[in-house]
Amino acid sequence: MYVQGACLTVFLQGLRNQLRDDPSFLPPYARILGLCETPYSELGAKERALVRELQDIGQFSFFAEQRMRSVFGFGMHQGIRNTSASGDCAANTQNRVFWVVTPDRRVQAVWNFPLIIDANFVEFGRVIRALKTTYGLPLATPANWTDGADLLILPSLSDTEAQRRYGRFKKVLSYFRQVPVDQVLKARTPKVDA
Amino acid sequence: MNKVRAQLQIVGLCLLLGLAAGQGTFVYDFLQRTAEIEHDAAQRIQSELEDGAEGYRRFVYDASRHGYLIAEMPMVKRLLVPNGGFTADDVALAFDRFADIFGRYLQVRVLDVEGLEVLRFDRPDKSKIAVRSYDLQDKSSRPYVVAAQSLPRFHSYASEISANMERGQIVVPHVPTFRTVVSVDDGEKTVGFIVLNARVGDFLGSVAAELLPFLGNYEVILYAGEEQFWQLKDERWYLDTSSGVQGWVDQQDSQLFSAEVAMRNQAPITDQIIKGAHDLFQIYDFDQTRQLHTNFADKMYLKVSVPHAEWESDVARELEKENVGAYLTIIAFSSLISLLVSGLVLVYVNQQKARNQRLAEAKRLAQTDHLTGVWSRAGFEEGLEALRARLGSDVRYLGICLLDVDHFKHINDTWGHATGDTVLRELAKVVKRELRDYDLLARWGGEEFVIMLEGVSSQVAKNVAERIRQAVASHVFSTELGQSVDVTISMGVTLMSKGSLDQALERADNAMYLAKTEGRNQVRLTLSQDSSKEVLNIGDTVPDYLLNTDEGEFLLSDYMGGRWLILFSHPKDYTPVCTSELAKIAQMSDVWDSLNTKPIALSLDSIEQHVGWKQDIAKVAGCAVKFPLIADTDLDLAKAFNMIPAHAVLANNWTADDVQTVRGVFILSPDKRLRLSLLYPMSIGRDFNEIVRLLKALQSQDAAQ
Repeated sequence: MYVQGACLTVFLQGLRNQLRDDPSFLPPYARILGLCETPYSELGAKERALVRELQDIGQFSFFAEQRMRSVFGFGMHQGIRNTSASGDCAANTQNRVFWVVTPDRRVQAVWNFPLIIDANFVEFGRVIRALKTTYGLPLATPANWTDGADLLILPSLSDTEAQRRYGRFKKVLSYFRQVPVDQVLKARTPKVDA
Repeated sequence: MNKVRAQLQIVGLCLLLGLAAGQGTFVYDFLQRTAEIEHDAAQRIQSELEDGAEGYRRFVYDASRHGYLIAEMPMVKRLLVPNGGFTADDVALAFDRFADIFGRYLQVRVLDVEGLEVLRFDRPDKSKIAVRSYDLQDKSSRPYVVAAQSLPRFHSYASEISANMERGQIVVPHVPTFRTVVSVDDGEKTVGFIVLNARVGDFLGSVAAELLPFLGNYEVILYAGEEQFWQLKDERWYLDTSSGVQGWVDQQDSQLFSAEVAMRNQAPITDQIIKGAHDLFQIYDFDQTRQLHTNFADKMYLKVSVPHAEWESDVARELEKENVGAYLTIIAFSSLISLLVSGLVLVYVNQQKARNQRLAEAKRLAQTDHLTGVWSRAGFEEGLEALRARLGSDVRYLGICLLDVDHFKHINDTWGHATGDTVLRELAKVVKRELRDYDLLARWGGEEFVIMLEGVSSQVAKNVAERIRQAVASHVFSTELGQSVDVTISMGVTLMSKGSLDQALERADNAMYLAKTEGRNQVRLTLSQDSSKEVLNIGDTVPDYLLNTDEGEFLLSDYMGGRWLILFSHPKDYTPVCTSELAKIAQMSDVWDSLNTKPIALSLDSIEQHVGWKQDIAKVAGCAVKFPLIADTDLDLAKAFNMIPAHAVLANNWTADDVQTVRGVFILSPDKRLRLSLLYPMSIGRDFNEIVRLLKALQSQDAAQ
């Protein structure tokens, strides 16, 4: 995530509270990478304390990058406003950006918020879980999906193949087929020969 | 300058002849008077524009909607409102504007189509409003014609004339309706008037009003061509074929004319001057289409059998229908010397005619591309601006296509420039065959052509461009030696919007550039400004896109109607997720209403696919789908909103699987600024509680500010 200096304190506090009060929002296989144009040494004492606290909780790393090289390296700069070609982000005071990056370093989601609106960490966790559940499979999650709800079978999978892989499914439309998530998880679990 | 030069030529000729006749003083006066009148007219027009340019233009604009501003004289303003389909409110509005700008009315007359007077106001009190819609309503079940006269400067004008009389000067009414009114005097008295370039409608509509009082003692005969049709003798008009105008003239015992006649009678010198004159008052048509004008004048004259207002309305309609700027020349002279001048004027007229023909030819040449015979760039721009002015808000249905010959340099290098020219000529013919008569085709420069298609949607414009591309690709181009030359074209298509032609051309150019980079011999359509170059970021104002939806084409701003907008985009090939989301949006219609927000969805599928898809969505949602689906088949919006990475746009034969982040949510505030964007993975459905939270947060933020 990229956060701008002025709101850094509020953001770090929010993230710290979320991790402390309900750490389950973030799956254990996810990591948070914080990017800020202000070097750690130039942060205020309060911000430095919050960063250390988050690092102690785990799953959190902080990168102070004035030149934003990592951002550009990941190709994650789209959505950052007023970023010059040199990468100087000092003028970027309009918004904060959150990315979800899969282990293969592909950007999967981009949230582009005004500064004044705080992030919903639970939604980040939901998307990460949905990705983890369906990634690389002919499956998808419907609107408002939460962990445990039915999944959708993508049209690339025929009825026969879907039946073979995941068992029985509900067919609302020819391409709108719902399958319980436990059947999917069961199918994904390697069968151990007795 | 040309006019001055032409006049100098006349003056030179006059000088020679005048000197020979011992009339040097007269010639000098002629010159002086002409220059003064020209100068005065220029000053007057300038001051009039400075005084109320904005109001004047506004009125002219309104008049174009509500009626005809027939006479634009400072002395008398006339407005005609033919009630063809207009409501009484429209008519009253037009009159209100008229009165705002030109002062109170002298007279308002409302007549039905048969010329019967429905309503009449004579010199209404200044404090009272002359016309209100209720005055007009229920007066006649038939369409009516309204005429109004206003005299905002009558008193000052009358004072000026009076002062001139007292100084013993020649009294010649300056009738600014006519481009040039030259009085001719012999040093003591008026011997004639030369009125050049008077519009037929203006002249016939106002000659009695303006000239009659001053020509009362003249014997005046009007000719159309060589045929006499109007005679003024002993202050009465004599008409051979109609009594309509006579009747109208007889009615002119109103206070206006009474005042003028009285004023004139109070100046003995004027009487002497006028009494000394007994001469012809002739009309010469010197425009290029003499026969047309002559016929037109005859035809118009024969219609002079109804009251003045309708007669003028006929004139206006005829002028509009014939599309002629008819001009007449009036010459009135009273003595032998005037006959000499008359001859000189005819020379002048002939010179003018020849000059007009040369100018017309030069203009035609400037508007035509000499190589291909299609419009030149200058001609295209002129034609397009005229069209834009005519179409007004419908300008968004003007298609602009930019066409460029692929590898034209290679053709020139391989076959020579003569073949290159042949190719361009042939190409123009092929393209023209695919267009309608009234579509504009112009050579924009080099091997680039531009096409303007009137009254087309974006898809039709693209289809036409595709048809042209195929026609060119299948046409056999050949060199002078009969060798075949392969010619293909790339085309960029866009629609005009409220912006300038340059902006539209830039869009078309961007689209054509894409067509070139993606392999040439193809057509690309873009509707957004710089869509291929830039993406929208948070805080940017979203251009007023023309949205192509299953519910029709409309502008983004029209759809928003001052409300918030939430745009949901959907990737191809993930239809079940999209269906589940769109169903959710449909179910939440009350939520969107309560948040003063209009939802709209977008996908890369076609309109036809959307129509069928909506039925599926309704089935899953269990309710009606009350929002449109944008068919972004050319990825214009997808690119502008940065829904897809650049490499996917530029890749050949890309598929949805190449696209990483195309499931987007975009929230626009009523001022069309992009306030928030969320790009989700294609396979992950969005959480609508989170979206509503964000929308409410944005609205709370704005409310707090």
